[in-house]
Amino acid sequence: MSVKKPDENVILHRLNNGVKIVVDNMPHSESVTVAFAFGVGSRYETDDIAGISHLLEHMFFKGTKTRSYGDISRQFDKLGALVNAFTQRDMTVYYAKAPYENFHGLIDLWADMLNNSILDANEFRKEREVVLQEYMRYLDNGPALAYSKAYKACFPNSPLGRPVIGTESSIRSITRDKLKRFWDEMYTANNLIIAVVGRVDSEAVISGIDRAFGSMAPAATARYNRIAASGADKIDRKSNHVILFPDDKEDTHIAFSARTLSAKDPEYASLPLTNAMVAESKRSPIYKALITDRGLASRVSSDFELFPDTGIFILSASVSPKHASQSIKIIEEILESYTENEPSREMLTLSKRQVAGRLALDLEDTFDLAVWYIQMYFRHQKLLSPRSFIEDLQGVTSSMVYRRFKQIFSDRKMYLTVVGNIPSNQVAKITLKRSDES
Amino acid sequence: MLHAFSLENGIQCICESKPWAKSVALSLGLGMGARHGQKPGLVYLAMQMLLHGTRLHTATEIFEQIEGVGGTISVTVNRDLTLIRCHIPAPYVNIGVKTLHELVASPLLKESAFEAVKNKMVAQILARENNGFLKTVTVAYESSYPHTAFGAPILGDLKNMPSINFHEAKEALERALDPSNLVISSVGAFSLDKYQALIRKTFGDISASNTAWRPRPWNRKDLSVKEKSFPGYIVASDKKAQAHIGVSFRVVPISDPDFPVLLLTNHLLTGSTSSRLYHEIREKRGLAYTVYGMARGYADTGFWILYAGIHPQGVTEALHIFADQINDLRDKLVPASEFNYAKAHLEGQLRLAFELPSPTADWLAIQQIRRKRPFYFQDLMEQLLEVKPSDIKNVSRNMLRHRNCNIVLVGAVSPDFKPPNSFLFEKNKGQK
Repeated sequence: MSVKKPDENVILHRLNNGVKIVVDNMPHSESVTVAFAFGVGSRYETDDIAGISHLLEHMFFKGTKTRSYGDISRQFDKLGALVNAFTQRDMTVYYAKAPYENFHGLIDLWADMLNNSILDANEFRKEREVVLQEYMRYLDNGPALAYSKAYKACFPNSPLGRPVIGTESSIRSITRDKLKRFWDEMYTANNLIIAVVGRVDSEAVISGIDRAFGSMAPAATARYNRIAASGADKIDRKSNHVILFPDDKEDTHIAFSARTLSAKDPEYASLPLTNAMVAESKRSPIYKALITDRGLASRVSSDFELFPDTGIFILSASVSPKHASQSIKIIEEILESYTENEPSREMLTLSKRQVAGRLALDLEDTFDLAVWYIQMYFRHQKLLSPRSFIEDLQGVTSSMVYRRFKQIFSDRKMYLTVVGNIPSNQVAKITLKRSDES
Repeated sequence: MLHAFSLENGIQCICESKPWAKSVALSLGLGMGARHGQKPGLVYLAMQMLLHGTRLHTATEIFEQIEGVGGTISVTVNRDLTLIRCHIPAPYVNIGVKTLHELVASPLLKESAFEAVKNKMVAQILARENNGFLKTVTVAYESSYPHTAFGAPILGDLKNMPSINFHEAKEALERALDPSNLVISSVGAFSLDKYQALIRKTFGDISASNTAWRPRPWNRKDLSVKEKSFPGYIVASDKKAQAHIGVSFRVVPISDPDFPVLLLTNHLLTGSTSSRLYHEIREKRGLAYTVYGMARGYADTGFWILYAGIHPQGVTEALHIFADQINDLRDKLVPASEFNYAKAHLEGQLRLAFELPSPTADWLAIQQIRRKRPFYFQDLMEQLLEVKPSDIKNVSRNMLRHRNCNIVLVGAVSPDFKPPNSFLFEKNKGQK
């Protein structure tokens, strides 16, 4: 067993079998959040089992050798717990947030669920239908669909480009046996990190988790194919960079996307600042031009996601169909303007304060902080505390952000995806100036 | 530590100090909401203009003041009130307080901004139509309160939007901003004494206006449902992949002793993964992914909706389950163990929610406006402790009646679809 203290109240502990534990003691908190994350998600799947990580996530709630589904639900209720799970491209996270005095009850229940689930065949058939309904809900969700298509545009030949939930046919083709094999292969001790944040006694947390997860077997887990800078995964820059997915929605959803640097890049902290300057906030030129001045969109936002081997930047907006091409042109012109000059020192300082301040707000919640630790661990492959992140942020220069601007918004690397109601008179007008020049 | 006080100009203030927090959440509540507009969407439109600049700063400068230090600012319009919400890191709380003051003391209300707001509302109405849950709730309110301002969509509709003019929106907003209509709720890391002094100094200069808007005294006729058969029933078919079911009821106001009973009843049906509708619809039959319930209490009425996003082939089966569970609550006492689990879970959830500054500040402002007095988390917990299983049965018999029930189906449902007769509760009394 080994212990590290990357920050004043934070402990990183490794059990003998490889399970990692992060404990952040917040003595004034009313709550505790316990989050269990396995390094497995949709990018580890092949086409024929696309969505299996997510379906397996659902099945851990469906009963163990000693507890039925109902027993599990009622015990979480008794603990006053908010319980759920989510699957991403590179991780699957199970969590419970409850009044702090119920910490040990949470650990006991989750240990049983994650170690002793029975994957009952009848429950599996029903849960697959629930997941298919979740898939239908995703089809009805314009912003989510546009976001997903933006991934596909940037990573066309990789599982990273697929929707996390899979497709209707891949979900239907998953069997209980495939699920069990996937579980055995991927849910191993050395692929698990547990984050505990809230009013807790760190020593009691570690000994409690050791008792519950210390006997989980370590094993070599499958790896995903890294996103290559060249070769089969290379983006075809000669192809049309505008992708349309018309359907029966009332509004139109547009997404600009581009690959960017990875979480392991020394300049990774320039991405949050790029995001803050572009469209994360209402003070941004894109928000001003689209919403404050013209009211063309119901929403506009930008976001990024960093993985150990690559990254993606997405700017998205939901607009009235008749304003689709106008909105796209406005956004494209503003994005292009970012590539003309380095951001000013004032802009950089303001954006640093914005990102650091927002982080302080977000991480007041024990749940958000627990998920932060987990995401940082899997993506940066080290424990990055909020304080270390702020230090990295302070080291970012204007020229680093400018490199991001040029990398993302120029050189014809950007894709445009449009989903939803696309009137026929708008189709011809929806173009990307720079990608169409060739 | 909580403290409530009034300024001399009539502004009501509630503060809760959470010294360990890293932020301060401010909710500035206005006692004017969508129901108080002369036209559907008018109040929403007027309130959005608050974020389009003041006489001192442009909209972008205001966003820069708040977001530039990591904060957030937004305006939320409900049926009966509006919240201007600001969440800001604690060291910058003065900026948050001054900005909120500027929004209500020096609004610009410019005609050019009005057209942009109108355009944005059109985009938002389209987004609402595209969202199965939001569309279901919107239609359910209309169906429960037909032909009333209360039941009309908060955002209005595309048909009425062109008729709203700048001057009526401006007048509504100016009248709403009178100090007698304002509540300031603040929760977070501050010293109570210093913070109280800051609020007094900053907001004390807003003077009352002679044309201040006052909510009209409640007139029950406003909510009288026109003659129709029950349960009310509306199908709004469209090309969504899912069918969306909303079963709604008009229920008691927020201050009614039965309202906490209703909160617990809603929790028994939809509040957790062991709740009845979640279990029967999702876990037992795999018909839905989302099962949800929402009980809202207002000063003079209440609205309760039970919702599920369903496989199109499962609508009839799901409706039978809704009806069976409602009948069961009406006819039988909830077993003590089930009751205790639900109560423990609801109490735990409330404790978690009120740990954080932002939801707490919103909740305190809303309670002050609807109850006309401070009402704290502890007050709600005390009320919930008093609830007994027999209360659930009594309240269900009183409120879950077919003459009070409306069924809304949205999305992938045939326009000719008819609901099952199982919704005719009180069978021995006949059906209208």
